[in-house]
Amino acid sequence: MTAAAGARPLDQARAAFAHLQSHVAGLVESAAPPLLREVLELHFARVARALSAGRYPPVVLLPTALGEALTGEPFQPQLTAVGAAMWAATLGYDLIDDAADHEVAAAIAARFGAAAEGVAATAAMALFDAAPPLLLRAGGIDDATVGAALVAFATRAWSTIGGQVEDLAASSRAAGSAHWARVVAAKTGVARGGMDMATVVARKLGWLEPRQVPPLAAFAEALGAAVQHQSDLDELFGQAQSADLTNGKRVYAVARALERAPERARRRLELLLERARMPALHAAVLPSIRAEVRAHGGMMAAALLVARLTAEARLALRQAGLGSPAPLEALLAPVDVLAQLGARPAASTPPSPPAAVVATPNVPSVFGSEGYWLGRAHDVLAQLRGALEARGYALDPDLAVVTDARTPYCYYDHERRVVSLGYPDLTTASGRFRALTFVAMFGDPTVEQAARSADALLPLLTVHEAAHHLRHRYGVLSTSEAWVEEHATNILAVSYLRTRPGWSDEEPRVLEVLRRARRGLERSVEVDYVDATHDDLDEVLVHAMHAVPEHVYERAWQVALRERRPVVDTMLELGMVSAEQVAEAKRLQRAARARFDREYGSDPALTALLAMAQLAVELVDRDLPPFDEALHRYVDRGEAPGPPRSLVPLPREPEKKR
Amino acid sequence: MLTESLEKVVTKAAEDRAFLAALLADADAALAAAGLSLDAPDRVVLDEYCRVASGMSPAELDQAVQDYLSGNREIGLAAGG
Repeated sequence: MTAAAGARPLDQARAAFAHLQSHVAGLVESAAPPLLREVLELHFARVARALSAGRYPPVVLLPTALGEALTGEPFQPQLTAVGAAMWAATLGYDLIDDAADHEVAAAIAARFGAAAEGVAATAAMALFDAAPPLLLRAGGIDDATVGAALVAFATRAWSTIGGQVEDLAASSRAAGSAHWARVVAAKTGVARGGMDMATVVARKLGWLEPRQVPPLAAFAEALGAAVQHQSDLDELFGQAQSADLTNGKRVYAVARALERAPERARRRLELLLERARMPALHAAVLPSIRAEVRAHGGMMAAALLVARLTAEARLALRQAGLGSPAPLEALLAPVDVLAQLGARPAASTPPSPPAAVVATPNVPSVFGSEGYWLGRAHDVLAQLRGALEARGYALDPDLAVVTDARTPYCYYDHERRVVSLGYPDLTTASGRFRALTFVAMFGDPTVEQAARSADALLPLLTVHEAAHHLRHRYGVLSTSEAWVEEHATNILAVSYLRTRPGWSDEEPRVLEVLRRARRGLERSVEVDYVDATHDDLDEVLVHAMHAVPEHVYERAWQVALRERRPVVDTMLELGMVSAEQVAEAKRLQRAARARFDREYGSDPALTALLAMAQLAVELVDRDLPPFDEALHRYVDRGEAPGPPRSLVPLPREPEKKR
Repeated sequence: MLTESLEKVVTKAAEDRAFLAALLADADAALAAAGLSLDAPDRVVLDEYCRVASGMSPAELDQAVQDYLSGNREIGLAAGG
């Protein structure tokens, strides 16, 4: 194959693995006893299945890709052999690390019982020892070069082993995000080691200048760390189970969320993480952990870290000055978030407005103009339309968005099929004047800053209004029960936005703006029943009645989680509240909802306050249903929100497809 | 949406051109002379009001105030809000 034809990374992964497999088969045939053969076959079968599905660890391709970049040969023999040696070492580490390879670990445990750990470690040693003969067998390089290459790898392997030890020990103690980033940097030393091994060989073969070696090492380090962090993210958010959570590991996203969450939320997340270590509860608490990690910016922080590492890798590759860097560049593709989004901003690109995280490609550049607000809302609706259509629902094709100069509120007019945004045009005198209401509401010092706060709420308010439309279109809109209608649309809006990329980082700011709005509006109007409209009775007891202090409530919460019982029952049993207080909470809740129904829409400030407060309640609700379930309950079935819920999220029953 | 005391100031400024001019020249003095007072958060809004109003022509300001006052009297909430 020629350089022009090129090779796909997957083909190179298969070639390097085939090389390793054939080599190990030879060793096994000649020397290995049957039991070791059995273990290695289990392990190799797992890799073969992963390769069939297109999955492979990109770092093992570093040497092979370097070979192609330097020679144009996609399967350059010596460097493909280096890749195979690197893969042997990686598979050895995987065998020891249950978390990385729990499928094989389980098979070994089933086969070997109490001796499983020792068997796995011994099989790993066999893989580590496969590397020297692999390199020698490739030919074309002398013994001294093979020795130098192995020494280069072993030097970095110590870093990897140190990182693995830290990684395995992480289950026994809590560590912060900075610590986890260091662990990842150390344990991915195998990438650096593989590159060092490859550059020693490539230098010996006369294909590299000395000055090119350090940038290639930096490229490998950044790639290795980016891949590991991305893999951690994929496991946390994309798998049915998280071995990291089972093992008590707090990967970067989790550690960042814990650092960023307010005290109470942090303690709740800690409790959920403890529950996740219990096999029986793991699946039940995983959705809540994901929601918390998203809500407190952990997912976005990890994604940004991956993006930064990818950018560093790209820069290092440029500095290496290779003639054809494409094969190495291709290894970045699985983790290059910016490239996947189709946007790679130049260094001089100014930062985006802070509120415009939800993608809005059609928005005019003049911030605060009527066109800006409409463009933002149209983009939000277009994305919602797509998400709904993918799920078998549809907005009315004629649904329109307008701005309404008469009022600073947003609403849905079901007669005209119109979502109306009360966002003023800041390019006009009247609009700037009207935006003073935003200044009063959000407490920002200038019209422009207040408009930024309003901008942060725009996706949520737009989807909320569109949800009224959806419920109207599907015949479940409630015109008599304002609380039911607003609560259902809030749940639909928040659960939808939580499916959108970028929203998890935006949500804390939205919550902060909503809370400021509530404080600002409470200066104009007094409402004493908002906290009693919460659909969790315990929240009514704590926040509306102040029946128990927060820290006592937290203890009840912990006990309820441990016992898997509703927290109100627990509070009763522990004597924290009396049956009379619970009855009073129910009465207050009913009365509050009745007042909400009567007063919502009667007065501008009151209505805005009720709306903002309810949205804020939804954003902190930890067991909000996922979007598909919300659609099923509040659009298909027209359920009233707020059935009694336990505090421990339970596994959801499978639902009928539409 | 504005507090009652702030709305009093804004309404007076809309109706009384001399008070508006005094407000833009020295808000504290104008409020004291009119026997009006605002708490700190309302003063932030009033300061921004003065900044925005200073950048408008008299006609623009008239129109803006009228739009604001009339607009806030109606709430266009249809079913569902």
